[in-house]
Amino acid sequence: MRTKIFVCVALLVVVALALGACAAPTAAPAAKKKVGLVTDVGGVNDKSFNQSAWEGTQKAAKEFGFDTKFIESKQPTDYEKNIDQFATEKYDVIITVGFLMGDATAAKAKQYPNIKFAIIDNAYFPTKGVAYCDDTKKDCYVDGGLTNVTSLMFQEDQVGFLAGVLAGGMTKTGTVCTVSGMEIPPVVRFVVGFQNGAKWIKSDAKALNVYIPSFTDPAKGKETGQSMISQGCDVVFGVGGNTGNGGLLAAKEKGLMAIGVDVDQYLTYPEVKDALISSAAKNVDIAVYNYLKSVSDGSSKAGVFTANLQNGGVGLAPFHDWDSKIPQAVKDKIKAASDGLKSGSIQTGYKP
Amino acid sequence: MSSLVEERAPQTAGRAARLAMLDALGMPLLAILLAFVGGALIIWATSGDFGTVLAAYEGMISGAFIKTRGFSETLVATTPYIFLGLGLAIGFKAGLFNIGAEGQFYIGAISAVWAGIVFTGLPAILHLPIVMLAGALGGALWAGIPGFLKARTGAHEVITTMMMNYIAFRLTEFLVSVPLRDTLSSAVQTLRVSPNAELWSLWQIPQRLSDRLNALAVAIFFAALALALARWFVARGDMATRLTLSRRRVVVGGTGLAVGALAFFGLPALTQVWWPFSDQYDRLHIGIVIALAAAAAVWWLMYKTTLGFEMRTVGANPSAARYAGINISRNILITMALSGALAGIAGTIEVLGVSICRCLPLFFSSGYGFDSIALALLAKNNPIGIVGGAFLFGAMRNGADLMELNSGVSKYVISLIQGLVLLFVAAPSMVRYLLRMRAARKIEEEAPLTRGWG
Repeated sequence: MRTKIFVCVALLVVVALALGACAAPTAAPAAKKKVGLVTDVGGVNDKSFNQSAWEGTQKAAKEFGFDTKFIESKQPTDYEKNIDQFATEKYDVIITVGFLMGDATAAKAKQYPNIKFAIIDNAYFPTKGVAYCDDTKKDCYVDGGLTNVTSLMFQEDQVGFLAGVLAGGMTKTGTVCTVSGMEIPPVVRFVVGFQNGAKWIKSDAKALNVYIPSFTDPAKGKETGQSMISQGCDVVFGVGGNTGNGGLLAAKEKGLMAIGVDVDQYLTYPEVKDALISSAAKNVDIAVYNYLKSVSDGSSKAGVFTANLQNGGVGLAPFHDWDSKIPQAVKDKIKAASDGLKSGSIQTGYKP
Repeated sequence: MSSLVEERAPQTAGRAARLAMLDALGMPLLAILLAFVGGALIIWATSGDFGTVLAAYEGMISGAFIKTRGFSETLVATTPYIFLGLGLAIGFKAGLFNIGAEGQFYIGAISAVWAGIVFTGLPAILHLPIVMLAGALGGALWAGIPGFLKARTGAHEVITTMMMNYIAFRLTEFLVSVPLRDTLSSAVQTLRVSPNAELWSLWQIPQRLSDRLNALAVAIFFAALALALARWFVARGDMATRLTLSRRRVVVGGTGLAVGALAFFGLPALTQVWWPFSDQYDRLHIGIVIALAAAAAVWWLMYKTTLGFEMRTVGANPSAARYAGINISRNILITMALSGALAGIAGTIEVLGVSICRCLPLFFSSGYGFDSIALALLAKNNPIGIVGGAFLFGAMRNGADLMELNSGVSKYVISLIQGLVLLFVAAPSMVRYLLRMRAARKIEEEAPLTRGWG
């Protein structure tokens, strides 16, 4: 019997070794530039901004002939490791998605000065006590050593403001609310813009908000949405990836109104489309696409690039099924607010 | 008494022991191999291309062992698995199915970070033990609560430890995002621990050792190790009869002192001259050494001490244990606390050694604690098996990224393979059927994995 076991084991070992050893060299020497995308913990199918970044990358890859791959981060200690994964595989461009990856991206950008980095939602400013760019520097991208980093930023407060105007115009109870993710600058910009927008159109509007310290907790989002609905809120703005999606679902189940975030969620989250009056979109895909375009023609620069209403980088998504139900007066107000924000005659009230 | 082997007739004992050995060692190995074959079949079936299977496994092996810093990262991932696996194994051996390791890991991490932040200006020789102790105490407390509930009221630990997980997650989230938060950082994370509370990366060692106090700490560690080894050596049959007790004490003490002195004076000088780890982006840290020492300590505890014997007896047959006068409640409490302490140290090490910020970030969702349940079962709760299994799991976890990158096979295939391993380990008759093997006679002491209420 022991010989039999031995034979079995030996065979299996041979198979296992063969699997490892015979593997053909995976890639022929490619002249194509390699672009890697590291997502945040939401993952590449988050129906929101990681997904949008990946779509932009794929579109650019098709047009400009890049090789692209993504790695999903499981947890924050993975950020550096995942960036390193691309760097040691000799990728030319690494895109990191999200404010939370700011420190990891800066550290790795310094380690690999010959690789181009783009980070979404995080801009670097000289800050006292921050190792990679302290307050003795003038500009992190110029003399702070991050000369290979491009920050793709969005004025979420502008589109949040427009969403607020829409919500304030549509509410019957006079109370609107936001189910928010973590209290980080991009989320705060959305929320502050939204609240001020609602008050701009309806000065006595009440705006409720709860920050939930997660982007991946739809159950908690839904619960929070329900509790705010019970306090009179009838337009729910979900700002926080999957957590926010829970808020949208709560509104849909009560037959109320909801506003999506980051992308046109009518398309990405059709389960709630009956309730969705619009979405406060930030066009991450376009920003990534434009960045890769600049990489492809050699014109990419380090520094901060801000997408806003003026350049079409952020904006309200179409009203879809609600188009006929939204009064013309409200649409006019949105138009007026948009013009005012563009010209600077209206301020969103967000202060960094 | 550790197995019934010793009670058999002498001539069959040798053969039985060999068979038992084969069963204990061979089965997990076969299960692992079969799981990889199963994984290959699934990749093949889903991709429709055998080349993908090759690319996937090639990527996994290269990512785990060959590529730059690949092997280091594998050891980095192995370290928490060892601690967690040991912790769970202690529980399983005593018949306690602690599935709250993930929560105890979190509480250990946050306790250690807290201790790392609030104490400042301590030398590493004090601060490192303090943070480790804080992590261990945090984990022990967190697991001790279900232990207390079980001992006192009979509440089933599967339910209570699972509930405690969620409390741990939310509590940690709160502590990270409010009281301990670092407002300067881009991420939501705690403040950085004091530099003396950090676990040393290997490349830092020459520089760390140039501090006399640090060298002393290392010397004490090695002296303790040498003491334990020497003590074990002189207690072996022939040595024990040849030397008198006082002689043995002299030998043991002398060895400890000599090794300590050698380490204290020799290591700093040696590492200044020659040290193979210079890559400062290499995250490998001394945690792996501590983990191996812990595995040895747990083995000793389980098989060479009265406490370990009591634990195993309670696990094998609580009624008999009670009849023999073993205090079951006390045992449950101690087992759970130890189990949690090890999980807490895993969290401590992950935070103080691996995370670049040397702090606890939000979303620290590791999954290590849940994987380790499979790991402990795979290793059949044997500390040596756990070290091997942890290495396998660490390699898979680390290799998964390059596998996904090179072959496009989702890294969740890793969980699938781990699941298959578990399935084959839990159902050895399936392996035997697949490989047409006959069963070895059942001669092992086995603890039931879990028992009913009460």
